[in-house]
Amino acid sequence: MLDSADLKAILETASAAVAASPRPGSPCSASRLAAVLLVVLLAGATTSCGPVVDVVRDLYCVVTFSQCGDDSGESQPHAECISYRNGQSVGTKLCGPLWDSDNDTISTATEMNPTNRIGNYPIAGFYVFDTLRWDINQSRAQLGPSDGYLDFGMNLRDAGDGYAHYLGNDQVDTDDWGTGHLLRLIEGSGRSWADSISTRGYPHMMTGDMSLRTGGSFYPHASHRNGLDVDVRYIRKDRSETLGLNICTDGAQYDTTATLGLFNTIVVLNGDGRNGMPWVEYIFVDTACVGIVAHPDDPYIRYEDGHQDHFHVRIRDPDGP
Amino acid sequence: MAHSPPVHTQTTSCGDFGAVRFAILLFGLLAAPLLNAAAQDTIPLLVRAEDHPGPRQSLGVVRRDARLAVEKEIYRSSGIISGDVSVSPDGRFISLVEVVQQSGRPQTQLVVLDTSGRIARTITNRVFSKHVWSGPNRIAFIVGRPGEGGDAFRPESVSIVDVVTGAEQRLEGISRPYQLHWASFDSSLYLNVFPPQGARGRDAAPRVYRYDIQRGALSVTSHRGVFFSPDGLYYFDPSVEGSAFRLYRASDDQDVTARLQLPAERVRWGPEFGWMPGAGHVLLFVDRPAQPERQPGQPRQPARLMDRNAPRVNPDRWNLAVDAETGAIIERFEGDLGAGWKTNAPVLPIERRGGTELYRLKRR
Repeated sequence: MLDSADLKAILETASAAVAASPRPGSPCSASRLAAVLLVVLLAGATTSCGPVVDVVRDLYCVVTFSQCGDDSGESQPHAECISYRNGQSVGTKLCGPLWDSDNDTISTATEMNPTNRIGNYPIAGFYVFDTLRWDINQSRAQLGPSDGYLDFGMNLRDAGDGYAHYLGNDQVDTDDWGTGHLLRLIEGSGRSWADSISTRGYPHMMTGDMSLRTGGSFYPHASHRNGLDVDVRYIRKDRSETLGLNICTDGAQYDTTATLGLFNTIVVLNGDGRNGMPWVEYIFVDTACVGIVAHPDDPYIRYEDGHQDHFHVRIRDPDGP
Repeated sequence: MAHSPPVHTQTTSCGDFGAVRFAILLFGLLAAPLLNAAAQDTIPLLVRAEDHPGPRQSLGVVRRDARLAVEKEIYRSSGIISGDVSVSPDGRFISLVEVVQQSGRPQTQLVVLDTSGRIARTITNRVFSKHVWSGPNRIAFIVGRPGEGGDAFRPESVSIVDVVTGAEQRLEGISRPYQLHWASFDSSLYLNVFPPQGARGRDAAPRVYRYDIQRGALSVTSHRGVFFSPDGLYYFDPSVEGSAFRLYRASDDQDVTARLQLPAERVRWGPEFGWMPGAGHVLLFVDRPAQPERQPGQPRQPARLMDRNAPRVNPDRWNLAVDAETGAIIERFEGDLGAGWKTNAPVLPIERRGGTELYRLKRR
């Protein structure tokens, strides 16, 4: 039996779902499922609950415990993300993948990162995240990477599945802010790269400078101003995660094949822009020394001076032109 | 090669003939070095780094006699040569960046050679980048410090070294420079300097400084770039990490990029080979077929390893010469501009199927 609180919550959710016009192609959500089921069972109405295909998808997601979130709308939540089973709120488990308990595309690690919290000391963030509910991604890249700034940026967790952040000369949590999209790329690539770590013994993906907390000029970078850029180290043959590498002056230590694998992990697996995923616009490298070339039909690799000791990943602004 | 000064003698019936001849001889002896130096101002030198053990690495420096089409190695590195060589404006020196092993660790040094390949000066024990010749005998470079773990060079200042005397001067009053350009039309070094950390809006624009090398005076300018045309009438701000290339008129700093009659994508990335030497204000673009941009949602194509046996030189490439004044393409010519040949002469070394040529625009 449903208790009164749960029933009330379901009814509220149902009203919201019924009132909301479903977006075409929107994947399922458990909350909508609850709403739809409730409406179907109690009111006998099926006409205003959205396409039947959504219902089927929702049912499938619940039964299979698979990912069933809305991948596209990080800034357009359709409802609170709370799920119920046998009358009990099971919230996190049914709503999203393991790394995103509320399926709002902002990872649980990011939501639990204290630096993202309003009032945190010594570096405060801009959010009051809730890992059980859909949080709105308010981060915005303003203007361009070479003349812009960052509004409501998010701080990258210093280490995560498959990646770690190196500081260089910067202080902790000063150099690793970005848009939610950029964090999604880094964390997603890290998760994909984790397979290569376990199967091939590759080191973690080592990420460096992103943007400052509110963006703007970031010495010594010409860009990195609006939360769309991240530097990544080339991979060393000795697998060191603490040493840097200049691929032009210390080519003997440069693992070209592993770095190629990392490029493809970032771009092909995580940067194709599908379903609202980030779109990798460029990777800036020292093309002469890197030993890697882009496919002629997808020339995202570009030469830029000053990229001998890292490559630079740029994503397209999802809200930009 | 020494040049004798022109000496005019005249016979006289006066008794002081010996004194006149002595005076002329003395004049000749004193003036010889000056005249010799003046003559050397125009020595054309054509060199490049060769014998590549790896990408962007070479072992030796080759000098080419353009008239005889003969090449000769004049320098062999004990380590590797990183990148291209460059030639001083008077053609007396060649500079290169060399990486040598010191106690098992790579160390980068700036080496200056004379035209016969002898080391004239080695500048070491500094972390530096982007050296440019700044008039006869002077070489300028950005000095800085490495980031932790060897990452991200952090520029701090500019040093100017007299390669003959070894005297080094560090520019006071600027910090964090990241672009350097020698403008021979006004004998000045132009520097682009980082804005303050975290700056936004107007404050976030880099500042351009001019250093008058004769007077030793540093001043801030209203310019928005440092790469001046040979005649000083135009300058550009290159595309850096995805920013758009911009062309400006020097007299009033007006953005005149829109006048370039090229496809938007080509204008966005700017000229790969900068200004045409010896030709007022002509930009050099590579002529490439336009490529439709991929869009989000389209599957990505995996990158692949570079074919190390692929030819390094592309003599079949076509280039465009574009007049900055009108924006029109004034010439289209074939050949690889990036084959590594460097010269102080106001011509463009290009590599063609028939060999190396020194190219001049047909329309000036």
